[in-house]
Amino acid sequence: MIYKRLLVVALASLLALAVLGAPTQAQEKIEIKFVHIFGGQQDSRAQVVEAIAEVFMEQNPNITVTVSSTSTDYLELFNNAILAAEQGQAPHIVQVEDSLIQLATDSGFFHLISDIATPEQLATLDDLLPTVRAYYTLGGKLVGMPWNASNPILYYNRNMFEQAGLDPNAPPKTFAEVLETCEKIMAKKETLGITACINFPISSWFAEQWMAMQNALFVNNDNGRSARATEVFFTSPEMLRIAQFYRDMREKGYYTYTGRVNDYNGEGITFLSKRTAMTISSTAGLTLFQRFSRAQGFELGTAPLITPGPDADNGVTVGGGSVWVTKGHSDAETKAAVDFIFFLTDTENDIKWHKGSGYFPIRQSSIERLTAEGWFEKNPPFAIAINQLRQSRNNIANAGFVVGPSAEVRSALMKGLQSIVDGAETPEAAMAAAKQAAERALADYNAVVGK
Amino acid sequence: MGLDERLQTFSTRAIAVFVAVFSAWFILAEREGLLRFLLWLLESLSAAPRSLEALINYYLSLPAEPLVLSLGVGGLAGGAVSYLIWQNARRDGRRTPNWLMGMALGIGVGMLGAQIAAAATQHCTYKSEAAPAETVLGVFLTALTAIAVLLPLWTLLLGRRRVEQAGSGYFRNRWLGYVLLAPTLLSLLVFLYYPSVQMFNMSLMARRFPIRTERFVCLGNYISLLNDIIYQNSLLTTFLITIFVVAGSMVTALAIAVLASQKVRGAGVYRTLLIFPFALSPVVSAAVFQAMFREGGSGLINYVLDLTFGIQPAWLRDAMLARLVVVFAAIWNILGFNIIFYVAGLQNVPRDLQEAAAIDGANRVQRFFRIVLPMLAPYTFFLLVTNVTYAFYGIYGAIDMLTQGGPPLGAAGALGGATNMLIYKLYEDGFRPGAPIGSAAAQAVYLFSIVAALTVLQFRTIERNITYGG
Repeated sequence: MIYKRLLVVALASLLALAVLGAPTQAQEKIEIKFVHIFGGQQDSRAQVVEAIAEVFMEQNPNITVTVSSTSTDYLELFNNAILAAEQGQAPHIVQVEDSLIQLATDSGFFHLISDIATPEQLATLDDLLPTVRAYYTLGGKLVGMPWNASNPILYYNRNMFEQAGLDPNAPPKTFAEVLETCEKIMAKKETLGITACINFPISSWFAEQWMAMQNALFVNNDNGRSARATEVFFTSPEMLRIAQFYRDMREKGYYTYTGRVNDYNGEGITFLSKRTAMTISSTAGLTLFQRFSRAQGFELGTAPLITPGPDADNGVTVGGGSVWVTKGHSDAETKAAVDFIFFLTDTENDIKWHKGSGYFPIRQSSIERLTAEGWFEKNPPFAIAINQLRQSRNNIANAGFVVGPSAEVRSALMKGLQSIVDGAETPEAAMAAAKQAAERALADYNAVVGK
Repeated sequence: MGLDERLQTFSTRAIAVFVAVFSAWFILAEREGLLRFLLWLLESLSAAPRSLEALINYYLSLPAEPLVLSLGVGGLAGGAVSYLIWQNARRDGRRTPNWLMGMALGIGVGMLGAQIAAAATQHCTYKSEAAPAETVLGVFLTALTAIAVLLPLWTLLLGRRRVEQAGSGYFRNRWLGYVLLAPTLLSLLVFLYYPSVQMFNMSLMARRFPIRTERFVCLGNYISLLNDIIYQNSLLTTFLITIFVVAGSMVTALAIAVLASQKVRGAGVYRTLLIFPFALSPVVSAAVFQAMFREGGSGLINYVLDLTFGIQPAWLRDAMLARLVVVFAAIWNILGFNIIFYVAGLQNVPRDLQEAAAIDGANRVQRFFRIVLPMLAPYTFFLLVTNVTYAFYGIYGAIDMLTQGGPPLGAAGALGGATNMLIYKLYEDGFRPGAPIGSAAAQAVYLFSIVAALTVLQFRTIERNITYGG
């Protein structure tokens, strides 16, 4: 009969399964997995990471580091890693975006760096730039290892500045100066062939920077660092000053964006297609901006991020990502993972990473060595970002805010700004509504997760 | 044995051998995953006695009031439905059980069925601290599960209407059929039914992804969604966009299919090219649309419009225009699918009918509306159902690429977003880090209910008026 045969085949396959599926011998070799977001098709940054991993493996022949990228999006990468962790298959090291550090800490899926690093490794942390270290410190503990750090800076088209009769060596420094500069540039709108004077993504990150510059907190309880934040300061005079800037630019037609929030790629394309004279973007894109501006035949100018005013001199906060070690692995694997992330961020590799990626060095020793090499003289745009960060006063405002539902808080702010730019909302009304939405998310999160 | 019979035996055997070889290969190739799956199954099975014990303990410690109330609701629903079915069956002259027995059975099973929903929600809607809206929703849910259990029972009770079955196309041996069905059933069970149950349980929790702490909130997630103006507007937006997507994609597809069915040189090439948008994933096709409609000066369409007419519409920033762009992108993506079916349908419209009508003096337009369109009705109905489902479930990729649910309505999006469809809101609330996944699960239940209700409605109202060939 057919089923008998079927049964025989099924039993035979089960037998084969039992033989082949027998647990493999415990390996001497340690294998650790590292996931990051630089998996884009032409993303040369992945090669830099792999080169560093190669050197690490040469020095530690018993360790294999598998570097991969499961997504080019921070949030998706984080989700993937968590879902894998729930299946007991977490990658050992995960790159985590700046805004996710509270959530990553709360989730319980990660070891905190201060808890697992050796005393020798911890001692090297004193070398980190104070602003960088402060950002990733929660409750006195370094939670994730800072790695790819970036800042927003101003990019501008020097040729357009010249054509508009402006000094290309004196880019605007403040909101007011941007408005003045734009007036002159928009006077030549037709000849320059631009749609607007300045474009940049509607992004919460810039507002966070401008708040830090004014020494203003983004959320209460010391920016969420002494206790869970319960209130956002979206209606503070400092935030309304930022909102008013958007409003002014909207009314004068100086500003444009792609219609999609947080669209860093799209905004870059607008600026590089010579449709605007200025843009604000991350230092992480510097290499790309330089390459494409050359291809487009214009001279790229870079300047520090514009400030709300001359009084706003508190400095910027750091952005980018950090690397975290997940729980649930053997001690040997965990140790190898920790060793690798300290190797990844030691002075030598920090320099290698900076040169290969455009993210700025996070160690003071790296900056000293790069300065001694004369690197910054040869690459002035990099010096802008470094100086801007080094001039930051080290305090709570520019340590940055931490909240669990950061995606919702940031989204509320962006929608507020969007309704100022596209709708007819006044800054006060828009920011009050955004505050309400953000605080609803905070209350809900705090009620679920607890203090 | 006749040739037919031998052929049949042979094909049955061929299928069996193929299945055996495939399963052997599958088991070998996927042994690790299968082992894990097996372990998981064993674990769940071994947890069954404990769960049963917990359930018994739960009922023992349950206060009388919620239990009696839930039993009452279930009994009432069960009795009422049974009475209706019983009466209908009597009128149709079908074999019916004794009235008293039928009613007793209906009420009893209804009470038991009600416990599915009641126990899943821990009888929370029947407790005094439940909000009025929660109680109402709870009663509805309890009655629903009571009826859901009753309907198959009555189908069995009333005796199956035996359909005359042809000799071929049926398995001589019933068990082979079940064996062949097993993989599908198993995967449905594991990947659809089990997660659905899990999702319902999650919808009763306040939880933030990926943090593991959760709190039981009864139907709170459902109630707050009902009261949420953003959710209400999202529902309206969904219906609005769905109507335009479904109507637009079907009318356009029919028009194109009629053109592509004309006898012209290279019609096959046209047809292939017309169908190809369907091969693109929604995100890819939305990326194309994004490159065209992007604003700020680097979008293709505005560049051309600016050069020719000197205008730059705010495609993604104006509420109505943004909806239009999303509708365009959604239509373009599903168009190929609809065209395939209409082209196939048009080839099945009998020529002689059209010729007869032409001889009777009907012009092209009359022939199209009086003959071709009615003959296409089965295809139209199928496409209607699939397109509605697509519009409800398939557009979030396009929205994410184009508008991210925006532009915001009201100050800071206090009233929601112009293209914030239910599925996109669900995606945002379910998959953002720190997202409220309890609420997302409740949204998924709502969304499923809406689509299911719409589908039933379509079958009830439209399908009845369709003749399938013959």
